[in-house]
Amino acid sequence: MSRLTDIPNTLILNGYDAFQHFIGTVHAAEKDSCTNSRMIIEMEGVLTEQMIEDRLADLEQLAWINSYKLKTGGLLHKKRVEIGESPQKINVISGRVSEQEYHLLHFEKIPILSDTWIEIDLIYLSGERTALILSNNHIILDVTGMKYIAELLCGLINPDNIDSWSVNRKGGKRISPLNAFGYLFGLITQKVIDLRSGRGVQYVSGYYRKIQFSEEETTAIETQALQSGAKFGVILYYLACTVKAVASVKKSKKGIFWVPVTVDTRPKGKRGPVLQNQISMMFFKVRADKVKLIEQLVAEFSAQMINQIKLKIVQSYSSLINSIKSLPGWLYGAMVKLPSKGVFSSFAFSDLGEFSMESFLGKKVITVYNLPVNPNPPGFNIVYMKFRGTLSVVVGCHDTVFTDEKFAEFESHLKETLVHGGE
Amino acid sequence: MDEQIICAELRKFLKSSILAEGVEIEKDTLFKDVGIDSYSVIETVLFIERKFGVALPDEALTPENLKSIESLANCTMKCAND
Repeated sequence: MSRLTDIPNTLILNGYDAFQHFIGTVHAAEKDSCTNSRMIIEMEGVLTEQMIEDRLADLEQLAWINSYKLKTGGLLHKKRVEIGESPQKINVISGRVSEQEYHLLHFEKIPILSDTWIEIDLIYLSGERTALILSNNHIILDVTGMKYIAELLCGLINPDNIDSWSVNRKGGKRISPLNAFGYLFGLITQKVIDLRSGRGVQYVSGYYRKIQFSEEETTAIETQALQSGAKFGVILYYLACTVKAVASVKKSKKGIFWVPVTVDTRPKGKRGPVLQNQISMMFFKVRADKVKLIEQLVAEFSAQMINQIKLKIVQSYSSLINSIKSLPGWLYGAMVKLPSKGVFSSFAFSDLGEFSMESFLGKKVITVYNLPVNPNPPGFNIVYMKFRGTLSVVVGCHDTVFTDEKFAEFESHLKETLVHGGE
Repeated sequence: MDEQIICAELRKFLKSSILAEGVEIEKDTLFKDVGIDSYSVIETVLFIERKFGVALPDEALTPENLKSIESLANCTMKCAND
């Protein structure tokens, strides 16, 4: 297994120090959990550990960029996680998934990848199927980087054609760390709703749920998005529908929904770096009493998106992340705890766009989806992705955020709103 | 203002600030075909505002106008002349 210390010290690793510090000190010390995001690739046939090992041995990028760990059948590191009557619930017993359908994955204190950057789990399903689960720490590897890792593994990307690390974004005005900190502290003084039922809950259990749309439904959703006035693609329509669905089941005490949205700032048109120092976000907020028509929400979010790009907030956030590396440990530790007080966001949102993968190391791919990172807070994260023309929405949710009934209500609202535009 | 000049400036901006090194873009290349996403489209619209002093109004920001250099330049010209 490669280790973090194997990374050549001649490289310029702006931001890397922060990541290493984050993992090596703060998270490992506090045994914080739930900070991994995952990609699940379900395929026909049996993929053996040896096949993955052989592939990894060929990939220099993975050998030095990423410390990885390969395991078979040990997704949750627990002998038994949850027994449920619903066909969507799973049992993980001795590392084996006993139900074919595992769209609802329960977790309990998902271990932090304290000594690895990437973890590869192989779960054998009935009917000669394999689920390969890539896990990574979301602070280190964004969702696009994760996608690249999957594509590297299955040979869709020539390793020579992908950058391993990117330090500077092209163009982009440099933002001073001072301004970036100012922006952060501006954010955390905002009053937003807290979706959790109780404050100070550090380690909780929760679940993921996949909402799958058919091809016809996906087409209907994209038609609705166009009619909603979403000018810059479907993402703001997805966001508006999600906010509306959340608002329909979760009342706001403070009156504001605050949603961070991941932004991929890699140069466009080619495979970008697997790792980058531009993991960034945009932040959208809306007053609960303004959550009425989808068209209004889309217009509001469009204006906020333009405004944030105009104000270079995306770069500010990246600069903030980079500048963290020069902080003393105690201050960094204090900072990473600030968002954990639940003042930052109502829920987190990502749209991964379209993804295509026909086979994985010769095995026909049945489906691919991402499990969102599920930090606490907000404990309620949502990721959208299209695979072979069909949209999937995966929700990661702490048990303290929604009861089963409330979640079913939310799911129903979200489906209805996406397909019919909230009418 | 000339549409050809706008096209040339937009191409220059996209190549220097948005696209990866070596990625070619012509005036009729669809933005989505070279991976230009919503975030980059907005950056391009803001570039037009800075460079040419033309703020594209809300009603001009349609998927049809935002699909390529050519359509964006054409839209910019129309807005400048209105």
